[in-house]
Amino acid sequence: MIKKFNIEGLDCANCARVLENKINKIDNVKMAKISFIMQKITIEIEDELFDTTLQEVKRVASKFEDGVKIF
Amino acid sequence: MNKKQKKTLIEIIISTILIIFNILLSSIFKTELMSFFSLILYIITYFIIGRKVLFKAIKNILKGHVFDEIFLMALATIGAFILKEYFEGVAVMLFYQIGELFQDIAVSSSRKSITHLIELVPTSTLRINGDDIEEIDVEEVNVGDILLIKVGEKIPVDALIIDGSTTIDTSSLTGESLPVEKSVNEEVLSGTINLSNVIKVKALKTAENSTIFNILNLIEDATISKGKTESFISKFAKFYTPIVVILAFIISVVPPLFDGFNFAKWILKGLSFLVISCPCALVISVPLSFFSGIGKASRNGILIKGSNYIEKLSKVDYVFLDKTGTITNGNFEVESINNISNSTIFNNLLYSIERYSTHPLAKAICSYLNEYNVLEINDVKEIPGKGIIGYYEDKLVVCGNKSLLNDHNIKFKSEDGTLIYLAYDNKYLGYALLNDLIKEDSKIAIERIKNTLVKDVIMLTGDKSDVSKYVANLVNITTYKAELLPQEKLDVITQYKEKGHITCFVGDGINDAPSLALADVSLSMGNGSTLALETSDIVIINNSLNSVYNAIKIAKSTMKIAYFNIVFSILIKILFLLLSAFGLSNMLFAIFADVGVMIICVLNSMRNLIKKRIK
Repeated sequence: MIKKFNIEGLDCANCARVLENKINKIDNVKMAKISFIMQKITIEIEDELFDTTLQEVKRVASKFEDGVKIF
Repeated sequence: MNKKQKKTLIEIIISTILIIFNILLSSIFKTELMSFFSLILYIITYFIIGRKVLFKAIKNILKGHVFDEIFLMALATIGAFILKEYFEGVAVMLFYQIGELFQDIAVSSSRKSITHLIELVPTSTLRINGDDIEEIDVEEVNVGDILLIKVGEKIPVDALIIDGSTTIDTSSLTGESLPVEKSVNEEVLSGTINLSNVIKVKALKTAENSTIFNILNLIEDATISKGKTESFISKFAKFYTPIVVILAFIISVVPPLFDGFNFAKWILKGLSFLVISCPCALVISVPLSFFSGIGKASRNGILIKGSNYIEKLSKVDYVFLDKTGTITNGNFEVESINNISNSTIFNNLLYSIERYSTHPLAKAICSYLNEYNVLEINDVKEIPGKGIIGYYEDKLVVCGNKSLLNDHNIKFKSEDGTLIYLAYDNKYLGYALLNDLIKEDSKIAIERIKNTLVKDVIMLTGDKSDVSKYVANLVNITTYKAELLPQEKLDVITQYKEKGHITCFVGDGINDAPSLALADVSLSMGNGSTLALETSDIVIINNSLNSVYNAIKIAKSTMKIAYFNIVFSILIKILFLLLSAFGLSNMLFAIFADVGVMIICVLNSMRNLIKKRIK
């Protein structure tokens, strides 16, 4: 399942790139792309694992930098 | 500017005034008390301009996240204070904030330029239930609902007019400023504006399946799919960052061994080296260039589905055009009727038999002849690919192409063009000449594309040679291939591809799916249909070939901007890194190399959006 979320609080384009790499390394995340300009993140995760994996993605993001939110 | 941005701007102004005030005072009163006062003033200024960065750096460190820009800024400026370089410390923070504010404004304004489309979506609409009219949210509209659209309102979903006629402003969607007339049984697209009369429409789609939402989604996704250039930047940043970190470490540690163990001084140099190295200018400006290119295109009625297509489109060598629906309108019209006998009988017969056919040519003839009497035709039979036959007063009527008349052994004179011949009682009566009208701007657009952008424009069509030759001549196309089966179109494109040329196919998006898929980059004439949005890389909403010209031009200028940003920012960074490695630059230089370069590149990216709408 591919879903698109808003992502807020990223400081710079390079940070977005680094966070994108980190999220891509999370187990069960098939693909993650961040558009710094649109402030959107597109994530692909297996259907049955979606909710738990999404929680992990959110955790990684908020741990990554102060004030980063995915919603 | 939003609240946050305004606040930052005020902080920047106050800090600048304080710094100037501080410098003036210190140069007038050179006492010990004054230098103490100056230090206090610098610390206050630093706190005003840098406290957020400082706090965030601390928070990030607590989260185990170091070596980002914020961390570097905090460390470098504190380092400057420790070395008693107060002015440098405050100035670096000030410039950093100016750069951040600038980047923020640039990014949000270019985001707005694309999301201007969102404003085209109304939030509520009026639904007619028998005698009742209720106001509902656009999301609640079901297919088949009857909606009332008042003057000046936006069409909420793709719909069919069932009552009334009006003029519609489609400029937001197509970039076409001339309003179009629409009446009963014609489709209106979501996001366009009803200009002159109240109309009743039947919803054909729900909000989320309507054109405007499709377009919005498409553009949002366009910024996510990355082209080769952007992947290159990502790869570059991957190697670049660790290398500069190692170099910065070497600069901080090795020289002091030969410089009286003056670690503080060299660590500061190492830090400024790191500040210079931030690849942000590169990482933000290249996507922003593509983004502004996509934005500019969308304002001109061209939807580009991803930045990778901009790259390919900018390199196109050969443009292949389909004829029907691309160069021409795809609507046939009767140009002339040439009968050798009584014209009333001819017209009556032609009209009466063609009424039974659904073929586009037959329809064109019927709408042309609609004031003629209907004769009673019996035993009508349509012969696919040939025409139609029937009996009038027990004698055979033959109406169709050359081969149909030949089949019935009727003697006639064959002519050039798209023709419908008519014979009655084994006698040839005459023919109707039909033309698919060439779009108004096809000729000039093809000339512009051919002369300024690509090696050649080639027409590929399944239509007959003589018709194709006629059209090609009218629009100044010298290379064309006619009577092609879909498979043969593919073969032609493959030949060019195998020679290493970049190919681009432009079609109507419905009959050309294989060619669209094969070409390196494909454009389809939108007609607003969802299908066209899916089959090609780039959709031309206003159906004009001139938009193909514009699309290629925008792609080329976007690539120029992107390449300039890449070369400029890398060269300046390398220059300053070298200066800094030999100890020839200070923190202020460093901040220019970081923030200054970023501002220049972002401004350059935005050029596309600032330039006026192209004609």
